[in-house]
Amino acid sequence: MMRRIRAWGPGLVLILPSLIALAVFVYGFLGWNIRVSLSSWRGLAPAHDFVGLRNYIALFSDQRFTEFDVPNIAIFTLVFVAGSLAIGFVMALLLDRGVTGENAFRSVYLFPMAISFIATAIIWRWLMDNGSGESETGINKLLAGAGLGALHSDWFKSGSRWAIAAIALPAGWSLSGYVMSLFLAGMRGVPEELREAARVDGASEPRVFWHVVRPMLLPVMMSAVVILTHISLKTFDLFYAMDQKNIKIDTPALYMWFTTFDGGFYARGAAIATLLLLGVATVIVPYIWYSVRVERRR
Amino acid sequence: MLLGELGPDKYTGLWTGKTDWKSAEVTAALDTFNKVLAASDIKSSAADWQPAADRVIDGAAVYTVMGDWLDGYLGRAKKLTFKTDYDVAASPGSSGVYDFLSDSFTLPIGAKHRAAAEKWLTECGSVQGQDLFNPQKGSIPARTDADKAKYQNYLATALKDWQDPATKIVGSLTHGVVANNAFGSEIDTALGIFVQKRDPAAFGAAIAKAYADTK
Amino acid sequence: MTRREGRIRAPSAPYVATARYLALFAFACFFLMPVYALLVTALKSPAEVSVVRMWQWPHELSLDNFGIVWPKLREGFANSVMMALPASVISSLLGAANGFVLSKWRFPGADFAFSLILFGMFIPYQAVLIPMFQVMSYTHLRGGLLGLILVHVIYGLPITTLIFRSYFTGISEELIEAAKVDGAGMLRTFIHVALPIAPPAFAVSMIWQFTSAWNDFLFGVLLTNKDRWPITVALNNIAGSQAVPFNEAMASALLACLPTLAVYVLLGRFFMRGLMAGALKG
Repeated sequence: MMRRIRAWGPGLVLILPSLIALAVFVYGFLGWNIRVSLSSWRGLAPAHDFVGLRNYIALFSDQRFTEFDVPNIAIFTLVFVAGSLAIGFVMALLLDRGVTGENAFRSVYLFPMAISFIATAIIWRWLMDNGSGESETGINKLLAGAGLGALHSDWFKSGSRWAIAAIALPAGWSLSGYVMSLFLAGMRGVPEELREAARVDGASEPRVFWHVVRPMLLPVMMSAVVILTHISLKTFDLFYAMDQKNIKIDTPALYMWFTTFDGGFYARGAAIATLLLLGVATVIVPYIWYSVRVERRR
Repeated sequence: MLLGELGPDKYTGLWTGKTDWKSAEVTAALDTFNKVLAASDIKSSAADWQPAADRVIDGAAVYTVMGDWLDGYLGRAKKLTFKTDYDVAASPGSSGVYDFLSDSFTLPIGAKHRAAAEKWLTECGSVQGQDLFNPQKGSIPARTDADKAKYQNYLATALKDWQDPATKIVGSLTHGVVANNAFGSEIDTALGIFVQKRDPAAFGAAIAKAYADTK
Repeated sequence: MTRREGRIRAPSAPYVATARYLALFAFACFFLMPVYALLVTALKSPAEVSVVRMWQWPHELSLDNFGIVWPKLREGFANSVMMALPASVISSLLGAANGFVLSKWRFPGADFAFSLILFGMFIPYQAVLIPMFQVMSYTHLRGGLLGLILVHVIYGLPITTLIFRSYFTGISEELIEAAKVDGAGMLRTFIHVALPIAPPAFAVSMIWQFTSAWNDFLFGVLLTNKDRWPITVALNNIAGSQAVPFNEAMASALLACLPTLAVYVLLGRFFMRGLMAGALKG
C-alpha cells in the first residue's frame, strides 16, 4: 500500500494547489451563493439569516423575471443556437470536399471569435440602428440598397416580443464559425474508406452523406448544442454593451447583475444565479459525464 | 409628469410615504404620462437623452423634457444660441417648482490622500471652483455668492428661479435624490415594464410594493 | 483535426462548383461586413464621418480618430497587457502540471477529479460573483490587477488542464516508462521529459487564455477600480453608448481588438486547436 502511495502520491501533491483553488473558487463559491440565496441579504451588510425558498418563490411572481427575462432568454437561445448550427453546418458542408482557398475562407468565418463581446456589441449596435428615412443606416440601408427595403427592421429596439432575437445576429456572427470548425472536424473524421465503400455500392453523393456521414455527426451536433446553449444562458456583456436596461433584451444574467450590484438585492441576485446554474448544469453535467466515459472506452 | 400633475407637495409625499402610489390621483397622473408616451418615440425606458435632443435639433421632434445640462449640450457642443435657436419653458404644471439634483463628492473614511482630497473639495466648493465648473456643464452653483455674470442666457433664468424664495424645491428621482439605490432600481424595473405594458394601475401597485419592501 | 491527403474528389458539374463559390463568398461578405464599416469609419477624417454614410469609402484616409481615442484607451490597454500576460503564463504552467499528472502520473480517482475540474469551465459566472465580490473585498484584492489576475488564473485552470491532458495523453507511454526506469521521480520526469516536448500545447493554451482574459468584461468590471480597468471595461465606458460620436466608437473598438486579432492572424493554427479542446475534443 505504502509503495503504491509513493508511486502516485507526488502527482497528487503537484496538482493539489490547483484542486484546492478550484474547490474554493468553483464549488465553495457556488455553495456560498446558494446559501446567500436562502438569506434575506439586501443592502451593504450581509445577512446570515435563513428564509428558506422565499427568494425563489418571489421570483416566480416577479414580472420582470417571468414575463421578460425567462421568455427572452428562451427566444434568444432558440434563435441563436438554431441559427448558428444551421449556418455553421452549411459552411462546413460547402468546405468539406475541399475548395481552393479553403484556409482563407475558414479564417474569415472564424475571426469574429477573437473579438470581445463588448467590441462586437459596440459595432453591431450601430449596424442595427433603427433610424429610417434620411437617418436610415447600417444593415437597413444595405437592405434598402439591395432592393430589400421591405425587410427594414427596428432590430433590438423593436416593440415586438422577438426584439431580443436581433441579438442572435451578432452572437451568431461571433460563434457560427466555431460551429463550422466543429462540423468540419467531424466530417473529416469520417474514414474515406467508408464513403468509398458506399460509392462502390452505387450510392450517390447525397446518399453517401445521408447514410454514412450524417449519423457520425450526431455527437458533434450534441457538442455544439451544449456549448452554444451554455454560452447563451450566461452571456452578459453582449447585451450589456448593446443596450443596457432595455427590458426588451433583459435576461436573467443582466437582472442578476443590476439587482445585486445596483440595487443591493444580494439574496435575489443569488437566487437568479442559482437558477442559471441549474439551467446550465442540466445540459453540462450529462455532457461531461458522457465525454469522459466515451474517452475511457477508447 | 407626476410633479406637474400632482403638485410639489403630493409629489414629495410619493417619496415619504404620504402619497399613496395606488391612489386615484396617481393613477390618473400615470394615465396622462401614458398618453404622452404614446405621442413620443420612446420604446424603452433606457432611451438616452442626447439622441432625443438631436431629434429636436433636426426638427423631427417638438420638445424634450430635460435638465439644465441640455443647455450645455446645445450651447457648447452644438453651438446653438439661446432664444434664437432654442428656448425653454417649464414642464406643464411645474411653474414655480425646481426639481433639483446635485453633483457631490464624498470624502471616504480612511482616504489615502486625505490632504489632497480636502484641497480638491475646498476648490470645488469655492466661488472660483463653482464658477469654473458649472457654466461648462450647464448647471448652476450651490453657493449664493457666485458671480452671476458667469451664468448667461438659460442659466441666468435657472439661477434666478433657484434663488427666488417663492420657488418650491423638490428632488429628482432619476438622480437618486429622493429614492435610495434599492428603491431606485425597483422603480427602474417597474418603469421598464410600464413602458412596454402601459398599465398605470399595475405600475403604481408595483412601486407601492417596492416602497414598502425597501423602506 | 485530421486532413486526408490525396483524397479522391468526386467530379462535380461546373455549375455546382460555381454555386459553391458564390455561397462561400456570400458567407464571407456577411462576416466581413462589420469589419468593413469599422475600418472605413475609423480611417475617415472625423469631419467626414456620418452614421448615415457608414458604408461609403473615405475621400481621404486619416488616422485622426485614433489620435482622439488612444489617450482615453491607453491606460486600459496597458492594464490588460499587464493582466492577460501573467494570467495566461501562470494558468498554462499550472495546467501543464495538472494535465501531466492526470494523464501520465495518475492517482486513484483521477478521472473523477478531472470531471470536477472540467465543470469549472462551464459554470455561469453569475453564480460565483457574489462570493467572489465578498472574498476579494475582504482580502483587499478588489480594486487592483492582482485579484483580477488571480481570478483569471483559477477559472482558466479547467481549459488549460484539458489542453495539456489531451496533449500528454497523445505522447507515448514508453517515454515516461524510460524515465521511470532511469529512476527519475515524478517532478524530474515532468520537467525533463514532458515539458520539453510540450511547446505546441503551451502555444494553444497561452493563446486561448490570453484571448479570454483580454476579452473578459464581467470579472474586470466587478473587481477593478477605474485606474485599473481592463480594456473591455474602458472601451464600454467610452464607446458603449449611442451618445459617443460614431467615429470614436469605431476607432476605439478597433484598437481594443488589435492584440487578439493579431494573435489570431499570426497563430490561427493554435487558436483552432484551442477551439477543439474547448469542445472537449482534444
